[in-house]
Amino acid sequence: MLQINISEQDCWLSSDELCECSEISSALLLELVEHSIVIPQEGEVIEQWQFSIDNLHQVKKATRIQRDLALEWSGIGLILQLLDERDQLENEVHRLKQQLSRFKA
Amino acid sequence: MNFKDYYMVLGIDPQANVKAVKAAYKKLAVKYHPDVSKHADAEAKFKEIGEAYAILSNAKKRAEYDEVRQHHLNRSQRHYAGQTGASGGQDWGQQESDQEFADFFNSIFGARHSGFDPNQQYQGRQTQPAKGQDVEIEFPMFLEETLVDTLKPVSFTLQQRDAHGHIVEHPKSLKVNIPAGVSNGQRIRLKGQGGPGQTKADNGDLYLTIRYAPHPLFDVDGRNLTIVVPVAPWEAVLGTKVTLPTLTGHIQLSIPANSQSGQRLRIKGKGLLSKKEQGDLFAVLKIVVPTVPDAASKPLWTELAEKNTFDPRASWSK
Repeated sequence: MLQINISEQDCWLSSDELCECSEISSALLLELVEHSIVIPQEGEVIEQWQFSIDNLHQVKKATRIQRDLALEWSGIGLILQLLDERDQLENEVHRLKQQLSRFKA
Repeated sequence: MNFKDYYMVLGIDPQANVKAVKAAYKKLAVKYHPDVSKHADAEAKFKEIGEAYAILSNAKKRAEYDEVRQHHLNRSQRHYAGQTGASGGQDWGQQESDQEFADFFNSIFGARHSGFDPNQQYQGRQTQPAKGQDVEIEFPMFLEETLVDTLKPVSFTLQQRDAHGHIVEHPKSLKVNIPAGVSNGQRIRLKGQGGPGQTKADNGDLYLTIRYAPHPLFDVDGRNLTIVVPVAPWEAVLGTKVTLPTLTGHIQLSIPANSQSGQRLRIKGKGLLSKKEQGDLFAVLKIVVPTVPDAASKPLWTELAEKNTFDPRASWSK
């Protein structure tokens, strides 16, 4: 059976790799960064930018929403931010409920 | 393929104009978009809405669909009338109408590249890329496994179309060395381990999303862990030492005198690992009173109640 070791390098994507994996142009990537839909984890200029795999997921999600709902990028940025907050709150509620159930048991 | 009333799917009147079709689609698309919605059947619902919109927003397709729909309605009415007149009538009208609908649907979307294949994962209306299919799977891990590099088996199924356009399933298994310190929800990319690409195109990638399995004792809050520690009332008042489980073994925890229920004691560096540091373990005290009456203890509790002036509700009288 094939064995794969995950290196530090596997956790990061350059701008070109991000564009290739998410099938977007570098111009669109700049626009997404401008709207804070995705924020480079490292680097000052586009050639040096490094993105996490979560960033890639965020770009794919943003482009799907844009394609299906035909919204402006500023609106999509807001949606993603609110979805993120919703997920965080749901996780927090789940954690507190879990702890409460342990306390009541 | 069963006939679908796309006007009902979008919740609009058959006479609705293009503007109303678009408005209905947008409203439902926002509600059921798989990236936004938490509805259990959001993906299927969104596909259905997409089908309806693709047909009803295009004048030519809509006219064709309206013909099929009208035919279906006429057949259904005749079938219903036949049934009420003479019981046991066969459903020929329905079958014929469904076949017409299937022909109509395939003529619009094509039998192979419908984009609305219920067996396919959500891909929206994207055209099929030459690169192989990316695969995303949830990957459960025990908390203990995240503290060290862990070799884990990964099995998944790739769906491919053969030369005849049929979906064929190919099981695939790998062993992946997951590095220590992965976090809940973190995605790991295994380049080229997804579906095979067409001719010279690259293979798709495999994405693992780490999901911590629930632990019987510990709750996770970021890199920190929490454990609820039951203590007897006298242990809380007098203080004690308890043997506390951690992810890697046991430690002795000193509980100070006059501890309160809900009080949190921090044990540094016994939480989860991250790239930069190790989180902490928080012991939350829970004062537990014996549930079974103990004849020997009762006089002691009574004496304590008589001699002690402590009023737990003193703040109410302020």
